[in-house]
Amino acid sequence: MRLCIIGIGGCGGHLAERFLKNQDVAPLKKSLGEHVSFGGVKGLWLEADVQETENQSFFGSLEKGCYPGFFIPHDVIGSKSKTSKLIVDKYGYDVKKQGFMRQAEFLKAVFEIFEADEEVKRAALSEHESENPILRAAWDKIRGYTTLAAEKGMSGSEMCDGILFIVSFGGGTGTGFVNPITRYIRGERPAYPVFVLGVLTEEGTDPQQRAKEAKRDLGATISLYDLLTKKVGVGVDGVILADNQILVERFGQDYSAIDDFIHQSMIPFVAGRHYPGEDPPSLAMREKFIEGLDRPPILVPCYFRDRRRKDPEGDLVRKALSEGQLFGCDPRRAERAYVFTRGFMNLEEIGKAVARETGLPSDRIEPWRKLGEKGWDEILILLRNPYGEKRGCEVKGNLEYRLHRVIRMALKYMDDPESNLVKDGMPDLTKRALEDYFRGEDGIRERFLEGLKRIEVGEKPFFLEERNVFERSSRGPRPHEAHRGGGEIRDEDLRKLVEAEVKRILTERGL
Amino acid sequence: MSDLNETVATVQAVDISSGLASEGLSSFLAGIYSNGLLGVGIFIALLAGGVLLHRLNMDRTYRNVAATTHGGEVSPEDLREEMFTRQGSNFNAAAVAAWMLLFAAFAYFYFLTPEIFPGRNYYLVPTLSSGPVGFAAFGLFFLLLTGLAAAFIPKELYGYYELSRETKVAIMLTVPALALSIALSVQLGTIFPELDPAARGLAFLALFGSEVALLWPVYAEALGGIR
Repeated sequence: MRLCIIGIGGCGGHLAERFLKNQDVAPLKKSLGEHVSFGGVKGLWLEADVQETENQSFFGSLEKGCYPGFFIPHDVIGSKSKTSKLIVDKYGYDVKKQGFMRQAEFLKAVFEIFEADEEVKRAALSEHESENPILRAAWDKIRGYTTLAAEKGMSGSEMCDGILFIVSFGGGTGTGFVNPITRYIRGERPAYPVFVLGVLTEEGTDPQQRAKEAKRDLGATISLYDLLTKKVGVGVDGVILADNQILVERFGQDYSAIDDFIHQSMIPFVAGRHYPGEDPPSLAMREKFIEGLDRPPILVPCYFRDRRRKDPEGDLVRKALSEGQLFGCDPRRAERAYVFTRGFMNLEEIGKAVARETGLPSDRIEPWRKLGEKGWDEILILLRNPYGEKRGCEVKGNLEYRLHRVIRMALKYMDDPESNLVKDGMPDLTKRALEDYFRGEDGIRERFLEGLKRIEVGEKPFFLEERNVFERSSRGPRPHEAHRGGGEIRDEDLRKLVEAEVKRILTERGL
Repeated sequence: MSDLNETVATVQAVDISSGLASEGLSSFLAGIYSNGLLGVGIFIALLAGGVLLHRLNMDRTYRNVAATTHGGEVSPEDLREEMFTRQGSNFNAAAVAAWMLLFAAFAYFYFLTPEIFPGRNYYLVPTLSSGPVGFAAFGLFFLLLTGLAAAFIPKELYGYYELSRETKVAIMLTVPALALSIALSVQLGTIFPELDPAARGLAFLALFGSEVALLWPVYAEALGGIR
């Protein structure tokens, strides 16, 4: 397994820097040799704000041939672009906007316009030779590091066979990119492994951005909703969650230390030096993550490292699951456990220890071992969907408890008249779409409420159907809405529905 | 007045004791570097210890992996392949240069002047020592003699260890340290038969300090394993 690390937005960039740091030493600051990252990972940073890229020195411009590099996808749209003007005139969105400051719906809406509006598509195609030039440009930059590029004549041994997006939930740029790019990837290779590491921002006011918790939580809820409601084979293959609240309690507001710890925790996942015969391709990992599911799972990382000693398995597993959770949860609610170790550990002992602590049968525990650093043993356990307890949202420290609060805060922000979610200056088309998206009878407000109820009664998953901003206004009714109103189902409609579903399944399977 | 006398006496005592300590250290160092057999013995022992411990480290890793593998069967070749880590071409180039310089610095230190080995040294080859590029030819001879080993050692040695950036920097810093050792030895060769104990001591420290730094990852891994 070799992952392509894509940091998106500010937080994603800081974390990606840790993963992509050159392991070689460059005495003159400029390396004369090839960049060697830990575990052989490759990657880049996608950012929407030029200023952010100027405030750092690690990433250089990919356009200038630097590595590791940043890329600003929106730069492909020229300042006098007809496509851009069309979108501004028709929808009121400026695709050249610098940064999206806690507006998760902004990029979502922009990319949906490119997908849904035939006029915009045509304009983009004639101007940029692509129906969605922003995404196309971003994917072109990422693709070069993946085995998808290697297939066309390049050597594949050093290429990445999976992608790990790193984003902050509650920002604006991060998750706005993930789903649309994943769709691009799926168009080329339906089963290409795509994982997300998402960091939920802490409670209270964020001292860096001074954004209110409720506003950030609306962004986070929209992001999570989008990621978790895509069907398997359409969306991502797993959402690894980390909670800054837990990390702030541990490290204070030292965000650099927090980033270091998140990186340290994920090392057993991305590291090389596997036990012989235990190096699964990312595809195998993907299959294990989504086995038996029709929607992407939540994966909670639990990490612990200790000085090397004899028979470390029991202690490491116990401490990882009790002291090392990066997102609060009840490990006994997990459906499966994926265990990544570094050091000399016994497979059976790992299995027994995880089974003892989680109650999982051995066939639901998947351990992968790697050689460690001198003197240290490490363990990372990814717990799949460790929630689902009735009234679990009332138990502090549970995943349900934290997400219930996040969704409630999001609803609070939506209900606050000062939030001004639908801006006055927008064209009517966008206003209607946003009003419908946020507060319509089938809008996300209702869906978040439904999600809260499902969490309260312990149902999995808590978010069900995906929801687009421009779904009704631009695309017409969704298939399942065609028969609302109580009329009889016509054969023709039924035939179309079946055809559409078969086509979707075949596309998902790459046939 | 008596306070002043006491202070002066204390300062003098400290001066004398620190002077004695540094003098003792200098004479101890001189005792080691002027004893050719002892120096060469330490140099070779450190190298041999490194080779032996590297072998032991590899064996121990194999045993640990086999002991935690069902059935205990692990292919040593597969394990070596998995253990190998790329350290980066800047580091590799510096490591190769450092190992070549280590052998050259060793030769310059012990075999340039008759001071340590009166029967085996550069001055016993008149055609070389009287030539215009004698010193350089002497160094080049040793570089070529040990070049193959020096080129092979870093890959074999460092590719199987996880080296921190600090360790890599320390290994890279041996290049200027060894260059300094060579320069000081050349200086000693130039002024010979004049002697310069300070230059000799510094060249010795740079040489052996570098050798320890170059072998440190192996020794550290072995120490970690013992612990």
